[in-house]
Parts: sequence; structure tokens; C-alpha cells
Amino acid sequence: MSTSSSRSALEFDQLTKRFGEHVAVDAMTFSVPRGSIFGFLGPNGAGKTTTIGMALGLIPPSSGTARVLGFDIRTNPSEVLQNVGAMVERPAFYPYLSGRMNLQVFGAQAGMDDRSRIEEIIDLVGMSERANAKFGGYSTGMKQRIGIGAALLCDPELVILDEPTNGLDPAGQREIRELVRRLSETGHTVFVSSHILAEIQEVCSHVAIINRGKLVSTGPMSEILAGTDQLVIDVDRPEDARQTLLNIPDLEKVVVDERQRLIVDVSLDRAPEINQTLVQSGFAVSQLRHQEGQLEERFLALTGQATGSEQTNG
Amino acid sequence: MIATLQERAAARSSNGHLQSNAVAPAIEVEELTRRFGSFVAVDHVSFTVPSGSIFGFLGPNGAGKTTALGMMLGLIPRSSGTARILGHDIHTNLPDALARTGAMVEKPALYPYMSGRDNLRLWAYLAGIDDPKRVERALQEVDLTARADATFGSYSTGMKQRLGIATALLRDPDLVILDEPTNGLDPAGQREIRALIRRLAASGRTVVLSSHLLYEVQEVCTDVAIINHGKLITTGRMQDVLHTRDSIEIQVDRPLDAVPFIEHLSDVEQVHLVDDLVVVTVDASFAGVINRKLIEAGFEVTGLRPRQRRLEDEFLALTGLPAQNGASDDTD
Amino acid sequence: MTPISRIFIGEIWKLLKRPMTWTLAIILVVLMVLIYGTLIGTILAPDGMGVDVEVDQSMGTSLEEALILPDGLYMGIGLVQLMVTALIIVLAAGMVGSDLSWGTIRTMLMMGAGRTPILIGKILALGVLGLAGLVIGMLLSIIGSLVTAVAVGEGIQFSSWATAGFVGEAGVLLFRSMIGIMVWAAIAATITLMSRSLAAGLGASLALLFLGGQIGGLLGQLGNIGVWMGRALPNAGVDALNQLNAAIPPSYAAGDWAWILANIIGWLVLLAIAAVVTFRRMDTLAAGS
Repeated sequence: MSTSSSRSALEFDQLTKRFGEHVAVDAMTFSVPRGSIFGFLGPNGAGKTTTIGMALGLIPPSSGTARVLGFDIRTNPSEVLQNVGAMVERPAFYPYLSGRMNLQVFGAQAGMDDRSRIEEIIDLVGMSERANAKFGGYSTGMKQRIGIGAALLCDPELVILDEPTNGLDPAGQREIRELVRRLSETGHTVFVSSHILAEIQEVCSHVAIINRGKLVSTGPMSEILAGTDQLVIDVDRPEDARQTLLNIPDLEKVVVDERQRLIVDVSLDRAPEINQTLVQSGFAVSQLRHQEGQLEERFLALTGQATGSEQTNG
Repeated sequence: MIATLQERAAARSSNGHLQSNAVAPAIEVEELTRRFGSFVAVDHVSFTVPSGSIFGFLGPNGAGKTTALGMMLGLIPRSSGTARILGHDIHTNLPDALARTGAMVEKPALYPYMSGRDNLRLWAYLAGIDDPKRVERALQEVDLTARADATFGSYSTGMKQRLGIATALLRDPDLVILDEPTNGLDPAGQREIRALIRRLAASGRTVVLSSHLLYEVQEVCTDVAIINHGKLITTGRMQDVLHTRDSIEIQVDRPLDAVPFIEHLSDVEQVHLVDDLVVVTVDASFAGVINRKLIEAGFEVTGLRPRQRRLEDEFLALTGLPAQNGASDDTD
Repeated sequence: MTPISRIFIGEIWKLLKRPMTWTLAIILVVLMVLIYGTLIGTILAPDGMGVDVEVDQSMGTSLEEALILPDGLYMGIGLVQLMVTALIIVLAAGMVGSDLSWGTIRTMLMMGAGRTPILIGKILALGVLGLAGLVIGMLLSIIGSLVTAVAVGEGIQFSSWATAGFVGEAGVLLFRSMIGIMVWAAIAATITLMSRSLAAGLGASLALLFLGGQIGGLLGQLGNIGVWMGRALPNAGVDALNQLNAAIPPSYAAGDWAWILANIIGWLVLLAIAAVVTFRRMDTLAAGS
């Protein structure tokens, strides 16, 4: 692994890409802390793939820089590529060879002949038991894990995964989530893009949200979600209950949603007080639930797409 | 007996969510079986999709979901068993069974060299729909009007998916079957489809949703069936499958004192502590009463909810994978 | 249920929208121009380079005579018939094979189209396109013949060919060619359907088209049994029928007509049954993936 002293695994500084008039990536500046599991989010066409392409040196930036562990791809390509493993598209492997043989073939192509390293990778991606079975017979989740294994061949510190769970069944999704956590525990920084926000919320420590080529928000997950907590209350007469709650000072946002539930924007420690007020006013409270901030709500609000009135249920 | 279209339309307008005994179920599958040589892809599967429900049809890859859906729509010959769609036996009366059914199975299957609009015009023509507004409405429904003249082959995965859904909605069906409809959609697109599914159900239609995104299924579906290795594992109301009705969990300031207090209330079967949560085995409709009694006795109740399990944990447990550490509740 | 008329019009519409159809049409035109250009060039070339090449040694007809109307009509239909047959085989295999691989056959079924009506609609649409190809090809060949006449200095002698009899003869030639086209369309469509593979349908049909005659000839050398085996080949009936399209056609006895008709009708019935049975039992989901 790298001996670089950079604190960021990945660092974008005013990174910009223009295609003619169209600005695909616009002065993107953020950094990915070492050791983090970093979710990279944006609507379709927001510039995610272009950004990842520039980080990997596949697309030359129009201006700005992308640094991997402190190294600029344009001046130190070999250092960068040694430290990055990426699975950007669904991996193509020989279906008639075993998972182990496939990794050996790819390893040999990459000039990596260390058999013990391949065994380590097979173990890391949790494929020890099935490594001798033919790749063609694997489930989609197993194929994806071998794909991630191939990205790990050069022992990178930074692993970039683009939509790793797309199309996987629930068991496959969980396999990949567990693998991502394991990668993080073994000292890798994982940079992952996904449209499945419930999954990102569950697994990522940090996140960056982009829209139309621009960074909208970045930071630790807890900060991104801060202030989005809600209290969901099932009560017999929601409209009357709403009026009652509006009498409590500094309680501002109280709404009744489409399912006739009261939604109160408030932190958890106010819950007993609200519950007590309602019960003492004669309401029957049959559910009182703290709803953790939903990344989806936050994402849609930040990217200006929160047009639907849909409320999530927990 | 089978309700006529008029009766169903009347029931629809009077009651958004139909009771399963008010009209014939949207789908009745009985002992449906499909063998490929010695391999049994679908093995005596029986379930009922209540009219007006949003029905999650789930299973791991290779469980036989698509084969079962294909047989229900007459796209695959059955080995044995029967299926009735909107009251019509698909083996004796497939045209009537399909007349009020729209489906997207496996993937959006459309002509890549034709534009989105031309595809819909072709399907509308084949379905006997001559009103061009229907095509435009279907395009609007999935927000594709702006790209309607680009060829289907040039669409992104998400756009293809949306056009496939528009095709399924073209005949204004009473029953809509969607296989992985949000595949490849970004979060806003996913939410649009969920909202669309809810709109369809709110107007009295029945929606069958097959998806691997279980949080999405848990969020929108009212009923569910899970199959694995070709066999039905479980089916029923979502809340029954997740056991949300027979116990509640309470977050309270003094849980150790709360346990004996609640134990003495009537109708309560069992009370125990899980970490700091008081879990009460009782019909969930008693939650309000218990809450009031606790507050009257001076407890501070911070949280009160039906015992919630994640569909993902339930699914993985039922289909043979251990639940994830820490993310799951125990079953008692 | 979707009526066959709608399926038929839908198929025509799909074919017209499909770039492959226009590519094949362009190939037809380009090939005709190339062939006639080469033939005219040969005629106009200096002595010793082909002017006296005899098309049919036994009849002593020169290339020039064979190319100019009214005889030019027979030469033209011979060329056009072969080309359009090959193109229709490509279209038929493409039409059936891509509906299976894209899964659009499912969408058709879901829209209320029945399986047998789909097959009928498709074969009718192929027939219409085949007829259009034949007519366009024939017109091109007539133009080629006229250009030849002008080029060799004979001029367009309307009186020798622009007659009702000529038009009637052209109609008969088109009708006979159409029978062949339909048989070949049915062969290509059915093989594609049964194999679920565009490549298999295309390859097997084209191989039969170009090698069927040779196989029949080889079988003929095995004596009487061989002759009858040759006559049972799916191409034998339409090949015999197409021979009537020559300037000096063979004359068939009643016995010949019997096996020719039996061959054509028999194969059409057999192909129709095979296609309908295959399609009815088909797993249309597996076919797409």
C-alpha cells in the first residue's frame, strides 16, 4: 500500500470537464477521507461517471485536479493506478474457467503472479468455498464479488465501485454490503456510487451528492442527515391533534400526511412531552415513532427533485 | 361468483381499497407447476392476489418468479395447475384474462429501431386503441414526452424501463404486473414509480410488483408472496408476514418498572425486555390504551410502535440465509 | 383478440420502419444496376471480349438478344427472383428471430394478438414485401433492357414488346415467382422459429436455396429412387415452377405437375403445422433471454 502521507484517499480540486458548451463536471471540490466508505450520489446525468473517469485518468479534465492519495493522475499515473482498484462495469470473465483461474489469468495480465495474494483476495471476497467452481455457474452476486476481487489484485488502498448491487437479488445485495464493510475493516477506502439510497445510508460513513455537474453537499453521513429527524404519530383525530400540538411553543412544523399520520419535525428528546400533551388532551396515541433521517428525502431535497408528496414508512 | 366489470367499477368508485370478499380476487393461482425435464422450476404454487392490493411477488434469482409470472400470463406453457386472472381461466379464456391486464415481465421488450412514441403507437394499434391521446397520456404518465421521438435503442436503462411500464399501462388495465420496474432508475425515478404504483392502487387497480429492493416492497406493498426453489414459502398481508400486529415495542424512561406495570394490564399476554425496549405481546390495537395507562402512571413514553421487522430480514430468513448481525430483531 | 388485419398492418409498419428493410432494398437496386451495367459493358466491349458469347449454346441466342425486350423479361425475372428470394429469407429470419430475441413477441401476445394470427400476419407481410421487391426488380430489369437496346443502337421498339400480351406474361411470371417467394419465406420463418435462432434460420435457408439444386442433381444420379428423393426436397417444387419463367420453358406432363404441386402444397402445409405447433408450445420468456 501507499506510503503517501495524504489524509485524503481521493481529492478533487476545482475539477471541471467541458464537452463543447456542456459543462459535465463543474468546479467539483471535495475529498474522500482515508478509511471511509464514501457514497457518491447523484441523479442520472449528474456527472458521476465523468468524475470517476477523471479520477481514474480515463477522461482528461478540462481544468482542476483529481488526486489519489496525494498523487495527480497526470503527473504520477503509475502511483495512482497502483493504489486504485475499480469495478466500473459489470465484469467480463471466462465462464468456463473457475473463479480462482479467472483471477489468476487477470493477475498474470496485470503482472501479478503472487499466488498467495490471490488466495488472500478469494478469502476477502468470501469465495473460498466456491473458488474452484466455474464462473459461468456463479450467481450474479458471486460474479460481482469475483469482479471486486479482480479490482483488488494490485492491492489498492482505494477501491471504486460503480453501482455494485445493481440487479442483484436480496442475498446478493447483502453479500456486497458485507464485502464493502469487510474491505473497510481491512484498511481500504471504498468509494461507491449507487442509486439504492437505503443501502448507501446503511453502509456509508461519508457521502457526496452532486447534481448537474456541481457538488451539492458532502460530509459525514450523520451531518448530511442532521435535522431531518421526524416523529411519526398515529392518533385517533389527527387534524385536532395537529391544532393541539401547534399550541406548544417552538414546535413549528406539524403536518398530517396522506395516510392520516401526524408528522412532527422535532428531535427525539421532545417525544415524551408531545406524547403526554396529546394523551392528557384526550387523544389515543397508538403509534409514536422516531423516524431517522431518510437519505432519500435529503437527496431529493438537495437535488431539487422532491416534488412527490410521498412519505416513507419505516 | 365473478363480478362483472361494471360491478367492479362501482366497487372501485365507492371504496378505494377493495375487500377481498367484495369481488373476485385479481389473480388466483392453484397448484401451478412447470417442469423442465426433471427440474421443477415452479412446484405446485398456490396463492391469491386480492383485488385492489399492491402485491409483492418475491424470491431470490432463479426461484421461479419469472416462470410463474410467465405461466400466469400464458407466455409459458404450464405443466399442471391453473391460474385465473380477473376471474378468467387463462387456459380456456386467455384473451379475456389478458384484456384488462398490463404486464412488463423480465425486461421492457420493445423495438430498438423505433422511437418510444412509435412503439406505443404500434402496441396501441395492436390492442385496438385508436385514440392517439392514449399514447400521449401513457408517455406523460412515465414522464417520457420530451424524449418520445428518440429510438428505444438509444434510451438509458431507466428510460427503457419507463417505456416498458407505459406499454403495460396502455390498455388502462385493472391488473398491472411489473417485474423489477425500478431497475436502473435513479432515486427520483424510483420514487416516481412508487408514486405511480400507489396512484394505480388508489384508483382501484391491482398491482403485482416483483422486486429485489425489499425496502421498496415493504414500503408500498399491502400483500406479499415469497417463493424459493420453485415453492411458495409464505403469502399473506404484509403486516401478518412481518408479524406487526401481535406485538408492540415501547421505549420508556424506566423500563424495569414498566415491565411489571404492563404485565398487570388486561389482555397483555407477555412482556419482556430486549435491550432497553419493552416488548409486549398483545394485539397491536391496544397500543393506545397501554400508552395512556403508562402516562397516567407517570412514565415518560418516548416511542411506541408495532413490533417491526424488516422485510429483508424476514425474506433472507425464509429463503435460507441468516439474518444480518445487529440489523435484525429476534423472533421470539 | 387482435384481428389479423391489424397484425398484418403492424408487421408492414414495423418492416417499413426497420432500417434493415431499406438496406436490403438498396442492395437489390445496387445489384441490379451492377449486373445490367456489367452485361451492357460486355456487349459494348471491343470484339473478342464477349460480344459473341452465347447465353444458351443450344439455342444459339446471343447475350444481346437475351437482354433486349421482349426476351429480356425472362432473363430479368430469373435474376430478380433469385435476389428477392435471398432478401426475403433474410427478412423472414430477421422478422421472426428479432421478435424472439428482443422479447417483443411477448408484448404482442400481451396486447391480445393470438399466436396463429401473428404467424399469418407475418407471412402475409412478407408476401407483400416480396411482391414489392419483385415488381421493383422487374421494373429495373425492363429499364436495363431498354438501356441495352438504346446502347446497341436498336432503339426502344415499342411495337415489339409494349403489348397486352407482354403485360400478361409479366403478370404470370410475377405470380409464379411469388409462389416460390412464399415457400422460401415460410421455410426461413419456420426454421428460425423452431431453432429460436436468427442465424440458424438464415444459414439453413440460404444453404438450401443455393445448394438445393445441386443436392437434387446428385440424388438424381442414384437412379429412380434418387430422382424421387430429389423431388421431395423443399426447393424442388418451386425450382421446377421457376423453370417455366425461362424464354423457352420446359413443358411439363400431368405427372410432372402432380409432383410439383404435391411438393409445394405438402411443404407449405408441413411448415405451417410445424410453425403453429412450435409457437403454441413455445416458452416465449426463455426465447428472449
